[in-house]
Amino acid sequence: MIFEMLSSGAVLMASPEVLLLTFLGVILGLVIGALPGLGPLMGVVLLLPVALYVEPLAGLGLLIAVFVGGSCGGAISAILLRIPGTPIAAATLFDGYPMAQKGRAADALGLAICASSLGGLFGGVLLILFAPLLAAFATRFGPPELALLGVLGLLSIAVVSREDTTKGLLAGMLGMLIATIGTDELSTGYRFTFDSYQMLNGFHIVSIVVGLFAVSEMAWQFIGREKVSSESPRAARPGLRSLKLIARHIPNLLRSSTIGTFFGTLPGAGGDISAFTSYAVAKAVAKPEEGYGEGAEGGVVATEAANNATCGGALIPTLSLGIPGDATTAVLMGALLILGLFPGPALFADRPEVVGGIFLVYILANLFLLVLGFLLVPVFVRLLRLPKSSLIPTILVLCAIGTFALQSSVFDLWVMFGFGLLGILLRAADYPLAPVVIGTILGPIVENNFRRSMLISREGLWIFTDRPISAVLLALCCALVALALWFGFRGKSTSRRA
Amino acid sequence: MRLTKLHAELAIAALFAAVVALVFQQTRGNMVEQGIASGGPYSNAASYPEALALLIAAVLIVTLAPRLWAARGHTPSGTPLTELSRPAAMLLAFACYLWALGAAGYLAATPFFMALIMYLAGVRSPVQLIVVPLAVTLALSAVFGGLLDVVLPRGQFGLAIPW
Amino acid sequence: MKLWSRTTVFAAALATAATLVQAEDFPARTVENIFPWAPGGAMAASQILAEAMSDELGVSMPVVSTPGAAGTKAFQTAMAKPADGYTVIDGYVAPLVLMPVLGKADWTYEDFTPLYAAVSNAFSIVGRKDETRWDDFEGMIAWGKENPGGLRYSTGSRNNLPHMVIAKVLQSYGVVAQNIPYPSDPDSHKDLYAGILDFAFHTPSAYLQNREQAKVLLVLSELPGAKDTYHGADSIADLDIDLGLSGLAPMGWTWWVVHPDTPADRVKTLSDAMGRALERPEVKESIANLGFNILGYAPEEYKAVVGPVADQLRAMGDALTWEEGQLKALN
Repeated sequence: MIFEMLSSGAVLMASPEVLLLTFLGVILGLVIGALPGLGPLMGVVLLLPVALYVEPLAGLGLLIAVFVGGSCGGAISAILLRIPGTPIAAATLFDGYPMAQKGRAADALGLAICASSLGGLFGGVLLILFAPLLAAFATRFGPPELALLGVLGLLSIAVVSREDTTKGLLAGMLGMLIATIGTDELSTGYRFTFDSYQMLNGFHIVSIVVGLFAVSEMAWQFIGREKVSSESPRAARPGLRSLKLIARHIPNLLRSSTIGTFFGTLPGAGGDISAFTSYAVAKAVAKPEEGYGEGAEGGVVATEAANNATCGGALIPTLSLGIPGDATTAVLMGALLILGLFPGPALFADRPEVVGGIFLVYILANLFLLVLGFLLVPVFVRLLRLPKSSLIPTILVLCAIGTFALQSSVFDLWVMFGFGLLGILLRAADYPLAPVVIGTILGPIVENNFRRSMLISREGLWIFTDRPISAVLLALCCALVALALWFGFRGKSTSRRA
Repeated sequence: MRLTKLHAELAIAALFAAVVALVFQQTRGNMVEQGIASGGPYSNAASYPEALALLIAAVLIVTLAPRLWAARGHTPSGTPLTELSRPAAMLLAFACYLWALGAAGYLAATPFFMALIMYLAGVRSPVQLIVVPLAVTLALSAVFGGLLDVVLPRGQFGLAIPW
Repeated sequence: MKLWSRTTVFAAALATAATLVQAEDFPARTVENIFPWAPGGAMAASQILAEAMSDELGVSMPVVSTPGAAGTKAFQTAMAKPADGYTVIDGYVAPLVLMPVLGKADWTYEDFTPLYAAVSNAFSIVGRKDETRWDDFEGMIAWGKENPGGLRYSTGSRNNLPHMVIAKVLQSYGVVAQNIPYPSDPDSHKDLYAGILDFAFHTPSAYLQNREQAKVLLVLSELPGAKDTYHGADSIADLDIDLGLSGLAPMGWTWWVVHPDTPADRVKTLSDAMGRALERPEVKESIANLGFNILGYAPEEYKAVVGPVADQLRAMGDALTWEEGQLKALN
């Protein structure tokens, strides 16, 4: 069955148009991902009309390649400029930027691209081998399970916020509160909208991330020094060095890819959650001397492998159930629908060659990513040699029009500016920024799925223990909290003794 | 006068306190009027933000306040106000730019803004101050308008390059 | 100062060039379609039509997804833009008619200038094929009567048009069921097939995607074409009761409109292009494949078609409050 699908798909794929557009898609995706504001979602939305002009598999190849490239592109600006090009790259900052500061920008980029590509391939293999099986498992994640997964994700704030858990918690809760702005999903009431229609859907996550990270970073560059100077990083050569580097992180790579694929299969969970979770797990199992948060290679590997594996994961429910795994795959599904292809079990039976073709272009896009990555790393690193005096205004303009492009709204620009000011203040007071993003993303997942569970439940809170997967997740949450409290307590008592 | 980390910490603490107050002002006022502040999970949209606000208040009082109090005597080295004038100018310019995007449009606002920021960053060569902003403005307009079909802000005069 | 004057001169030249272009024939640049929902099947239909219309106009026509507040955010966003014909509103029934009827928007459908009616699709109530408690819609209603508040269903988001129509059906039978809001339709379908929900609203494309597991219980339209889309399942025309819903009233549809201050010649250009796009055979075919029907009503027919829909929706408005009241009484 799988073999037939792939062989008939290979016939479709072996056309110059498919290969060329997939290749172009990866490049475009990398660029769109690297620009602050635009990410894989906007890339796929913006290129959809182009994809409809060409033959179906070529169009799908273009879109899937943009998805793959875009999920990796955010790492480039995160590592080089300390600006996550996309929310999903926010976790790549933790170790990617410190690596660059230590003069290892090329290594960090090489690792990020290798990890993305290999993580994506891992997700692709799972997609091909187990799509229907994994999709069936994912449907067992109902509202109670999703709520508890969200809680697990929030616990990662404790890991991410390093030494100062109090500040991390405060920032995380602020993010959760920010996410309540807008129309409440269950009551359809308006919360904190102050009678402004602009606030009816809350703040756009991209405006928040661009403001918090990019605008505040640009302001930071202006402090102190009389003239904004540019550093000259060591020349970087493309090569197989990154492959050698990543060979040291195989267990991390496999674990992070599994986490990424798993989150991808769950509707409602995307690359951002998987990247943060996988980073938290990697940091938790790492030895202290690896120095997570100060430029550990493992940190870059964990986030990038996870967020690209999520692409493969997200395609699983999209293709086999017709339920998009995230917003980007929702657009991809729209493209399939326009082409007259209805994702779902019937697609596997009726049009195996299309499914096989999609599998193969996904794999191909990841291979192109690896090759292109090697070739383009030196080009990207050269970006750092551009005079900062030209780079800063360009980035600011990009922040503005990238944010504007989301839904052509001037209001989003002011949201971005506001979060820029907030980011500056938080930085000045040594608050971590990432928990704000984690809280904003996970808050609604936890709140709405909890309330939905209570509506569905006929025995109140017992719904969380009656369902087996939910019970396991609940036990996991409790164990983690207990562990955190225990270590927190011991940590305090030892530091007092010292 | 120097701005220290403590100033920023105090500002953030004040911000959190204001947020907590705002949450309750809304949940007890506007949300009651809308009828979404009571009942079960189907209709009660107020409990969750209230719970978060209470947690923030608790963390603020129990852990952060004592720490800030303890830090009151120390005067760590801060940043002199004069050094903050340039980032402040940059932010002001950025705010004006965002306003100008809506009023005058992308094409009219961007070259001026970029030249201004470059000037702030220490560039003094007139050629650079003219060529770089114009080149970047046109290049980005081509990428967004031509390649990606994004309609950039046109402003009151409807300025746009028809890609 | 020399520097600034030079920059000013250049910018002014640029501005003049751009203005000159604007004085030329309409349209000179990208026309946006402001779409009120998140991406999905409906956006696909709009994109097909926008592609054909862009071909007619000779400029590109991106569909911009601006979801929020049951579609009203998109309307407000579009109305805040200049009335120059470069912004078309994808006028879905919820923000165009329903939200004003519910008092959640401060406009009526008469406040917009219509182009052509675009597409419609018929909603249905769908259960699972492996359901053991009942065999058909009547059976489910009987079960629901015996177990007040026992049925759990979803229409995606709450208080949308399908919710209103289903609440009206349930009210007519005196059955109280618990609506469960979800962020999107597919999320609710997942939980329907996982056994968490008892029934859910489907559009034709959602039904086609899930047809191996889906059992259509009731088609929410009395039009014969709708019945065919759902492979001959029972429709509201087959029920013993009269819901007082006919034509477009219980369906999802969109009538593309523009800002009322848009110059008449530009409205005509857009209208004519849209009319020709709707006539194209390949557009008809792709849209039919999605489970949507082309409406194609001309701008002149706007009031005659939309007026009765607004009246019927107004008459049905109490179904949602009825359901809320009954659920509160149960808890």
